[in-house]
Amino acid sequence: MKYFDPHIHMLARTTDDYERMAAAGIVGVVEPAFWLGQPRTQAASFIDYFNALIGWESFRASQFGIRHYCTIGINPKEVNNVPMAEEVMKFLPRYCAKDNVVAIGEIGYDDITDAEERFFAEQLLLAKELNLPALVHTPHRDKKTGTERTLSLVKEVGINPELVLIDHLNEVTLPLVLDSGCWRGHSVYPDTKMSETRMVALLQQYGLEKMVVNSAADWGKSDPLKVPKTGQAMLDSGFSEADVERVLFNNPIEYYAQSGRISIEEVLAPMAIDQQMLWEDNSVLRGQTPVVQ
Amino acid sequence: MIEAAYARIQSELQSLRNDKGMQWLLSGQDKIKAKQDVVNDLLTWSAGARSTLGQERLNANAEAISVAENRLMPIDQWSIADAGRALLILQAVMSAPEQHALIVRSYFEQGDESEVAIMVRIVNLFYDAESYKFQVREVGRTNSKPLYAALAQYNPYPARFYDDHEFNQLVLKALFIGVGIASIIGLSERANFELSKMCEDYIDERVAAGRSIPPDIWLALEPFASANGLGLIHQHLQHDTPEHRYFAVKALKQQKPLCAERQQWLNTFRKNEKDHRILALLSSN
Repeated sequence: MKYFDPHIHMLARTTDDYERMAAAGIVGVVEPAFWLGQPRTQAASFIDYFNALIGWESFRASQFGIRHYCTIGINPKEVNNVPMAEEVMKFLPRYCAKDNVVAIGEIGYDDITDAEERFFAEQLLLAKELNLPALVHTPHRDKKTGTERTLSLVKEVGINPELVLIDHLNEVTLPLVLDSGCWRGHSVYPDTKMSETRMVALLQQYGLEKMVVNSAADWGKSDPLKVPKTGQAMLDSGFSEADVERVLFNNPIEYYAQSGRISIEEVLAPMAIDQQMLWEDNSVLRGQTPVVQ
Repeated sequence: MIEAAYARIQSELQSLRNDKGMQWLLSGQDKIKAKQDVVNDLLTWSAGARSTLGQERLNANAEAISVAENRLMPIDQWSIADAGRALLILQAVMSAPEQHALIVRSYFEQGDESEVAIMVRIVNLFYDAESYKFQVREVGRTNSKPLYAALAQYNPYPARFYDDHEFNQLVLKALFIGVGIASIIGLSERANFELSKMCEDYIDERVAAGRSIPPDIWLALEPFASANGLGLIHQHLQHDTPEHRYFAVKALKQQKPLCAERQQWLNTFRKNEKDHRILALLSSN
């Protein structure tokens, strides 16, 4: 089986993870821009971060045979530093034009403050203008209200809902999104958010259309193999291999393909690993024999 | 006002009779008083406080200091290093009042987690406490339990300066990351309909996900609970976990005076309860 993880923070993961992911069948990932686990104190910090997502991390993934794409945006937590967020908004459009940027995100609500609403709306508007997908994080807390307000704002801004993926949904919030036209994202986590079993139950109840599953793995206790593990749970529950491929490979790529910068054909195209390559004189190897295919 | 806090902390530290530690602290205070580079000297001495003064509890029997109305300093919750750092911070703002805001902001921005925790605990003492609301709200974005506890528990700042929405989010996040809400100052006074609704929505999500409900959630849900919410509290009087029963009783008793229906619930409940802590709570006023 081939898998695609549409939301994973690889900068926070190790090369061992890349090896295990490739062995489990993951051939491509999307890494959304988010925070560092603590608030940044200056806008310039975002420039280095975005450059790393587009540059070094994409190279690192390629060294293990995985295609790496990213989304660019200022996350809901850090927009509360309004002067900093205003600075970031100035250089955001140029990053949105980069080749492997397939959406604006993650954007949305955290504490549901006025500042969050302002920059969420501004970034949705930017996505609308650039005709780019918008990856929307729903809050960990007060999730139902956050999801309802997200859907209202999507309508208010007037972005095509087909371009919007509402992420981190659960049993309570998924039904709210069903009739909106937006894509439906779910993050399968070891302890919080969503489990493989619960995810399978949602797929059984609500079908496969626009359903997307990710690991959202980051620097916290999380599992970069949750997409293939969900695939196995689907097969164990009687879903066909075609169903698994639709939800865990085709759906997310079709969603991001609206950017015009990714396609199923591209992700499926053979990718030869050459670990002799360097990125700005830097290698992922530390004395090992390079793999060259 | 901060002079009184300073004197009390100094007296607590001196009573420990840690001569080496006090000597080190005194040298830091002297350096700060010299005003050559107050912010940098404060941060440098503050960084060494844990290794030099230790992390033992300062004085668990101490009473929280009420410096002025609504200006509380709960030193019974502090470590010796916390007290040393608080003393250094107060020394800095007393020695260089013209740099007051710079000192506070720099400490918030450059301090490590345990340093920011003590700053967030004492910021309510400053005359311009409200002007650091941005920094305090930034601290609240953490997912670290000790740091979040410094903001949420035994801290008068949120109740004094947060609006209802901000206060509700503080309570919900404490429940979410497992920081007990019983020690949130002003929880019952700041209760509101929206907070009760948020708690009920949160319970719906936890139940749908097959997860446990935090037992102290009843305290925040009760004051403006819907009929359904009140039913949940009533139901949890029968829960297997004593913590759920304890907080369900505590939540129901928040109503003053108790209505006849609640009194009857509690009377019926008392007959089968064996837990001493819960029985004591039932008997209390």
